[in-house]
Amino acid sequence: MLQLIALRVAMSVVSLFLAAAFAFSLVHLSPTDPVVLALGDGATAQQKLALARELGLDQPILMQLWNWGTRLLGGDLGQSIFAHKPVLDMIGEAMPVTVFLLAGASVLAVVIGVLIGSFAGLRPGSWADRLLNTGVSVALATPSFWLALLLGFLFAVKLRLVPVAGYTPFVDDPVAWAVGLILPCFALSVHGAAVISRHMRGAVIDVMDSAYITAARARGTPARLIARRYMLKNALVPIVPVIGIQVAVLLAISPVIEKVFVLPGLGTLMVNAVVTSDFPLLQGAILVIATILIVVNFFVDVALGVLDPRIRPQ
Amino acid sequence: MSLATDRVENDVGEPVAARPSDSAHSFAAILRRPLTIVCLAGTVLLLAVGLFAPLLAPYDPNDANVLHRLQGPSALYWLGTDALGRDTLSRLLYGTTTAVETSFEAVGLAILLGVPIGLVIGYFGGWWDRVVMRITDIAQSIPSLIFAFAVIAILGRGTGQTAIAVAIVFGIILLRIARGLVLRERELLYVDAARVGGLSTPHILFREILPNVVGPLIVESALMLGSAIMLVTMLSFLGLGLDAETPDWGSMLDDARKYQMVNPFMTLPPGLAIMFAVLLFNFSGDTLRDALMGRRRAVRRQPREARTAAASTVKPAVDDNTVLIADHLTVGYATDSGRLFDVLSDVSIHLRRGETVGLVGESGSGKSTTGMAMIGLLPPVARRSGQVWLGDCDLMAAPTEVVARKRGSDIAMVFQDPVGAFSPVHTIGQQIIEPLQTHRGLSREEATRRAVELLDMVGIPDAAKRINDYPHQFSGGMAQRATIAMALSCEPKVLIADEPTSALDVTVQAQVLKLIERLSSDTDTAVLLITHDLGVVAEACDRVVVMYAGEIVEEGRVADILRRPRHPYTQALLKATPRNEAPSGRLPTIPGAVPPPWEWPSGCRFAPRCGFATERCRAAKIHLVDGVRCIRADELQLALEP
Amino acid sequence: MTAGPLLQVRDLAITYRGGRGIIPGRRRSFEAVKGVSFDIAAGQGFALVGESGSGKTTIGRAILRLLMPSRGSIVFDGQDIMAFGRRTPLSYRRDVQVVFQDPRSSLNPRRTVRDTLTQVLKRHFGMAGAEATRQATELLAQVGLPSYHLNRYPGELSGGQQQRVAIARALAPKPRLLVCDEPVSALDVSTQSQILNLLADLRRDLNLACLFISHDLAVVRQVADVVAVMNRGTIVESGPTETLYTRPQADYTKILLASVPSLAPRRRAKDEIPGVQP
Repeated sequence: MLQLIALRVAMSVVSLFLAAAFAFSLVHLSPTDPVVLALGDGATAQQKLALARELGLDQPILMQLWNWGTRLLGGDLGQSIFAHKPVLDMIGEAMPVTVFLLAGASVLAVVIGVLIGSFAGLRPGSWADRLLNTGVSVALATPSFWLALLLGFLFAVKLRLVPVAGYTPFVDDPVAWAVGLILPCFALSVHGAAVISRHMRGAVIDVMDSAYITAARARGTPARLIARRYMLKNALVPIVPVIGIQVAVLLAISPVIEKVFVLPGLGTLMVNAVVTSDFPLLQGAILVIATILIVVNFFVDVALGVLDPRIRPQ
Repeated sequence: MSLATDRVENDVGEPVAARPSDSAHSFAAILRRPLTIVCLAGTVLLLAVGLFAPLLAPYDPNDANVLHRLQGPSALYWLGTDALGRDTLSRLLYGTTTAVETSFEAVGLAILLGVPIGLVIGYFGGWWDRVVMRITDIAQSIPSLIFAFAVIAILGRGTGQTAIAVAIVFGIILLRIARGLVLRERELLYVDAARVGGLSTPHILFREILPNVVGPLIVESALMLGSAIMLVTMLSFLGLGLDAETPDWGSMLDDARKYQMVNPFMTLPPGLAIMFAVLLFNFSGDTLRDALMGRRRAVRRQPREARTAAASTVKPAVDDNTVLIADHLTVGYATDSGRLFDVLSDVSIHLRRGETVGLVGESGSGKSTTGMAMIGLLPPVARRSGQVWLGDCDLMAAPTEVVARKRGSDIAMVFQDPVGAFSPVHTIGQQIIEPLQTHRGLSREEATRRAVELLDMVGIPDAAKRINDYPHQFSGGMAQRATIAMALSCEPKVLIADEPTSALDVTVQAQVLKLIERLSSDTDTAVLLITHDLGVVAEACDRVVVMYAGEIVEEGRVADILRRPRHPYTQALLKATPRNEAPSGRLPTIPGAVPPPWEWPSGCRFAPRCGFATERCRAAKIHLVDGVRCIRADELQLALEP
Repeated sequence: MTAGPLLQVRDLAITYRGGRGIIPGRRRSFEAVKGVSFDIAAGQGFALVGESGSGKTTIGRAILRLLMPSRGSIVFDGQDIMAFGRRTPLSYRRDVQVVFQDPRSSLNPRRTVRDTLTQVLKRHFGMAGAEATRQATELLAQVGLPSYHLNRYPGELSGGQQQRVAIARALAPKPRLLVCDEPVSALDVSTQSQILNLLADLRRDLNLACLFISHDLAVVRQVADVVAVMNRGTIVESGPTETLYTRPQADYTKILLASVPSLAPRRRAKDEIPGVQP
């Protein structure tokens, strides 16, 4: 087991390195001069030079890479061109919001998805299964941000059960923090829950058709025990990678949810960075997002090793 | 591309030869389903609207009329107006064009980028594969939307740039899918055969592998169209996608968000448009999948237990030594278009205490179905009639809970695949102790102790340690011993062994057969040994029942039948079975092949292949008389030795 | 044609790099074949017999150049095939053909029988169109299939018919050595003997040498002239069929032969009286 974990840590580090390299290369891939993009056409030559020096663009590429890398390891992600604040600070403020949103939505997606999927998979072809299948198809086609708008209108504006917008940090008011996250997390989770439930249904059907379930029935194992013990664990094995992918998808969708509910998370930060061509901020944000995903994937692989003894190294 | 056939396996996994496809699932039939028609029509409509938007829209989408801003639906403006007084309906229609254009562009570009590379690196592997995969791994760590952000940050906003951004994201996905598909096909034997045939590499890749891979790729691409629309509208919603001029559903929703308090209706049209477009594309993708890839395992509606009323509920009178009576078992299925066919016809078998009965037949004989029927594990869709008396209980008529309690405790079964009979994610121990806990009420510790004893008894070395191992750590022979130990742990009266040695090496086979013999004689268990191998029957059985095409054709003592077979099929089977003897000229064969259930003749089912068949044989149904189903049995003095 | 055996295998060793481990680059290696030598003469039926894991299939794949041995030599008709490098010359592909165990997956499910046969004919003889179809029809006749099967897809054929098509495909380039990897194991008993008879006829008519790989000792005895018994990567014993079967020398051979079920009934029925009449 330990070997598996050590292995995955090593691979995660490699992935992180690659993501960092990609983030670094962004500035240099741009066909337009990043300085011009940031400052606009009306900038004077002096301003451009100053910014170029600040960004280190006047130095040879390898030097830039080295500087960037060493600064990175020291925890310095540079300075936002637009806001004139350290990128690290800005990200530090925004990250918890996104992390909580993602965590809440992921948990909801997994729980709802696994429950619906198992329910449907255990009675395939029934009217319940077909109804749920239609519901899942509709959920998959529904844009998350539209759903967020509609739900927000209903629950926040009309029924006033939850705040319309904004984020309350946990340390300020835990209750308000939780209540403010209910709607965003739910709206974000719907798509993920739909995908997971579909895969879970397929996995459950496959498992229930397998030889070991027939063998279990042949030795008189009660149906409830078969479902609880054998079906669930075996069906989860192919689902775990799907969960990993869906967390990434949820992370991808989070900027639009953040926009609808005005949550000051990483998504909002990045959108601003793209609009203002604020490359240091964009690079930093991408790096942090990649790190979050790499950590998530790490836990997904470890979970898979825990569930399925066949993939553990002998 | 003719997909007019499919291979059929009945639900107990007995392969039944391929047949012309049931009309319910051919390409044409799928197209005729009402839901398909509606959705295909919808897709065509969507594409048409996209194409003819300028003709359909009542207003210019950018025509601002500030006096009428933020109005709800009215006679002038059917869907109201937006913040600048522009007609929502017109913008919606033009938005259709944008959505359809961008998604097709993006996916088209993605296919061009991703599929060829994926195919090539999948087939050749090596360094190219490793390098490209590491590059695409980066994309894996960065969520799609955010990757698109990065691309847009570099390239700027605009329709073309958005399409490129989305194309790169989907291109990487398609690359990995294409690669995965090729990797899987590459392992198949027909590729090896093509290589040995001397076919050139480009030929193999494009003319052998590609046709098998194109179907899934088309399906994925179709499904991607829907995702593309989502991604594009999300980018526009965030203000990053298309330029401000182009009407687009995403930016319409963004506007609606800003003015939600003033005009909440504005949120509905664009959202519904996105939802319907994505729904239609997704559905087209699913339909394509059904049509191109043939029928997936059909998930039939599960009927209530499809049993016909028993002819009588009186148990036939037998002596005390008989432990199981299968009486007039008939099992059948229905195809999806409702055609009925039987796989088992009027089979009756008695099992006595301590005896081993061989049930022998080739594929399509119905032997496995008989075993499953006896233990009550036929799939619910199977139509069945007859009785199975275990003691005083008819397992066919009894409620499921009653039957479940008897399984494992009074009647047990072992299967062909020893490792597959265990759940791969649980230890052997966890599964072996189950029957002891369920049926004998032992505690976990007691059951574990007993399980270790049992494993030891069947010859598994180091039993106390191995009980905590997982199934994949056992060899086939060891796993089969474990299943036998488990099956006999509660000392059942009947053991059904369905091809218990077919998947094992020949040296292990002999050991396992001896094991079954030893254990069953210790516990006086009746054994029904289902096999296709007459050698196994000769070794291990007292009596034998020979099946052909769903019927019993002969039964009797092994010693008698092997020396003096009375049915032509039994004789032919014996002669055709290769023996460990010096060869003497050509091997005797049975001409023709076993007919599938829907082609069973109404007279003698073996007649088409029988060297002794007459018109009388073909005319009417033949009955089992004196242990043999042949009207010429007495005339034909069939003997193996001339 | 040179004098001497058609196929000469010397000290062949084949190592598998164990499956894709989690650590890229470091894989468990497994020596499947540990130094094996044998000869096959022209027109001879040579059988490699053993249980799973004995290495017999691996040797077959090496002779077919589907994998590379790590050591040793394989000489076909005087030519060392290991010296071919990465590309296998078409002449070798003409001379050495294969029939696999599972007929269903050895035929491309999306190609008709005609396509499967004609593309081999085209590759080796440049045949096309009507000429190729004629030859394909002849090949089918050789294996006992009527010509209307040309338009069928593998999925429409029975197991026996599929295997015949696979044999026809193997015969198309007019090979001198046919590697048969468990050619009848996936077939019913009644179909097995049909295919075995067919292979025997073809061998005789075409002077075709056959490398017969099988775990079924009873089958092998009927078709082979020379048998080599393998266990865990080495040949424990080899010799003319009848000699080996009647006077086995090695212990493993004796165990193997003893495990083959004979058709002589061993047990006696518990009860003399058959079941009650219903």
